[in-house]
Amino acid sequence: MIPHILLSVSHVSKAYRMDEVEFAALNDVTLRVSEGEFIAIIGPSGSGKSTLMHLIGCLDTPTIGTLSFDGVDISKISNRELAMVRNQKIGFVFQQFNLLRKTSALSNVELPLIYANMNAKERKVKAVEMLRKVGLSDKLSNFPSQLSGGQQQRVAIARALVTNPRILLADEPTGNLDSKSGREILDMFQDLNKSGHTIVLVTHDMNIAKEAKRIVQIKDGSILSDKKK
Amino acid sequence: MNIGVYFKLSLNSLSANKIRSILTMLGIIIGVASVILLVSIGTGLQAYVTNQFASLGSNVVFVLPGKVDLKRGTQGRPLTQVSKFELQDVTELNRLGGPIKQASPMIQTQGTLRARGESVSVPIIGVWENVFDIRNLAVKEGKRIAQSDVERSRKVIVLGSETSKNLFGTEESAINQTLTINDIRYTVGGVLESKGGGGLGANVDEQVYIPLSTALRQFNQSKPSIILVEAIDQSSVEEASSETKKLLLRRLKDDDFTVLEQKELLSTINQFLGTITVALGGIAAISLLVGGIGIMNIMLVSVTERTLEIGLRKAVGAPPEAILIQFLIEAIVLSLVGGTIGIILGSVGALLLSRFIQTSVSLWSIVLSFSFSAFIGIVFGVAPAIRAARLDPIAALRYE
Ligand SMILES: Nc1ncnc2c1ncn2[C@@H]1O[C@H](COP(=O)(O)OP(=O)(O)OP(=O)(O)O)[C@@H](O)[C@H]1O
Ligand SMILES: [Mg+2]
Repeated sequence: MIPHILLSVSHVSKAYRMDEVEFAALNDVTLRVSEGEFIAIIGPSGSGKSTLMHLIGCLDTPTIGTLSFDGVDISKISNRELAMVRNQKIGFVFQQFNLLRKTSALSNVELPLIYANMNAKERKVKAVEMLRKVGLSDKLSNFPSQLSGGQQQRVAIARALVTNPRILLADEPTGNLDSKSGREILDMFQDLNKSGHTIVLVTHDMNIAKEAKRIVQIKDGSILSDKKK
Repeated sequence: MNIGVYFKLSLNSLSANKIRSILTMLGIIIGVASVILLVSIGTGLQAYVTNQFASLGSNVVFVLPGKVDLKRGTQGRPLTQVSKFELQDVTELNRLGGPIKQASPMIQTQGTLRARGESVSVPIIGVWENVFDIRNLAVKEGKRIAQSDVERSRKVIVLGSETSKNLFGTEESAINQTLTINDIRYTVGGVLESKGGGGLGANVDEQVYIPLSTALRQFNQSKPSIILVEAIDQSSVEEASSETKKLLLRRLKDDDFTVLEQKELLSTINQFLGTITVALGGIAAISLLVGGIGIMNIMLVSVTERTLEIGLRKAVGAPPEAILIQFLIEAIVLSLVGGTIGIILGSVGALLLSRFIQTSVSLWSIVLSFSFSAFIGIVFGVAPAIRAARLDPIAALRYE
């Protein structure tokens, strides 16, 4: 059976304009992500990993090229529909966490559910459950500034997973964690993948990349290699 | 998403950013409260003066010594010039009839009244008995000055209610008491009804009245300094004025006296008060602007923070309208709460101030200041949201 193609990036480039100089952060990248895959994107700092992830996550628009999600060209759908894709189908863990500053861990995790139109009671149950899974049951009412880097990262992961998305995109999700908590998160990702979730994670640590079923190497904005185990 | 959810989002955001919310409201509060307060002072002042004039009697023509041109002022000459009026003139005016109902001579000076160790400096007016009819002055206690008092130069005095209270504590206790003006003893014959009004400028409730003949002797004068002429009705005021002029010209030169209708006086004073109100309005406009700039400032300073927040909300799937509605509700809540506090503060301020000067809160000042502040608050609250809601989430998250 041919697996369903969830996400397709074709001939995508991303250029940043700085004054008069154009800098190509991504150069003609083509990548297909099928349902149920576990992909690690690996590459040195500045190679364009985050840039690629933002495009895959429908958070940014490419300079050239097209992106489609579930067979739909996302440049052709309305902002409203795109917001729904982000909300219901994609879970994104940012490298810098990007939590709401003056808002508790619990409310941060509830946020995507608010836009998913879930009632308050159900929202709370789900968010509490998710925070328990990432080991933060005792930090529900802490603000991000009252959490360690690793804890903030786990709140970000909980927020990404709370909507039970089709695909989880995680940019260096274990970068701030000790090896034990990192291990726990990776185990969680493995479980998610086993239960059918698609996962793309960015790392520059080969040991973590080896957890994945497929490793995409990226350098200077281009794909160097793309190996399946 | 239903509106309740949006309200919850907005209120959470407002309470999470208390300082920002309070500073924004402060801008609105200052703008609204100061406009209401300042306009209430201007309006109160106008109402006060208009009342004071109405209390002089409505069909009255004033005859003053010297040439007074209201349009050009007194041109350096003192307003009170040497009077050339004779009591005979008043008698003739009274005999004239026609449009003239009656005429009454007056002199007015400032003097010190002493009684029981208290002393007050008040306007002392020497009058004929008919002045009380012309000026609509009613007695509250005792009786007014009678014709016989004037004829016999009796030392009786009728007090304004304020002066009575200042000297004797109440209006009732003043009757038949004695007081002195420059060591000459007077008996209090009556106390007038209060005409109301605050303590600004010449207060009718402070004025005291003695018989004209007594006053002329006491202050060593021979001529009345003002003649009041009452017309038979409102429509005859002009005619009464010209008849008065004609009669006086038989004996006096044109620039020995001036005949003024109350209408002219009032319009001149209103013109002047209008200038004050405009000046107060100008100050109010500046406070409104300062408040508005305060609001803009807070909103602009928080644009970066808010843009990041919008990027984040979009990243987790907020549709564009959800962001706009949230920001709109935030701005409306701030404007309404701030505006309401401003209206309350401004009105309470005007109320407190009315113990000292007359104030009158006007609806247009409330509507104007409130809508201006709300407009600024809403525009500057929603503008960043409109802009940021169009950006890609990443562009908003990277905003500086
Ligand atoms: N907004 C921007 N404006 C200009 N240049 C940018 C911008 N964003 C990224 N870049 C550049 O694009 C390149 C790729 O950046 P990206 O963040 O994708 O790197 P990365 O692979 O995620 O690196 P790291 O491992 O350090 O996170 C970098 O050279 C960076 O300087
Ligand atoms: Mg990166």
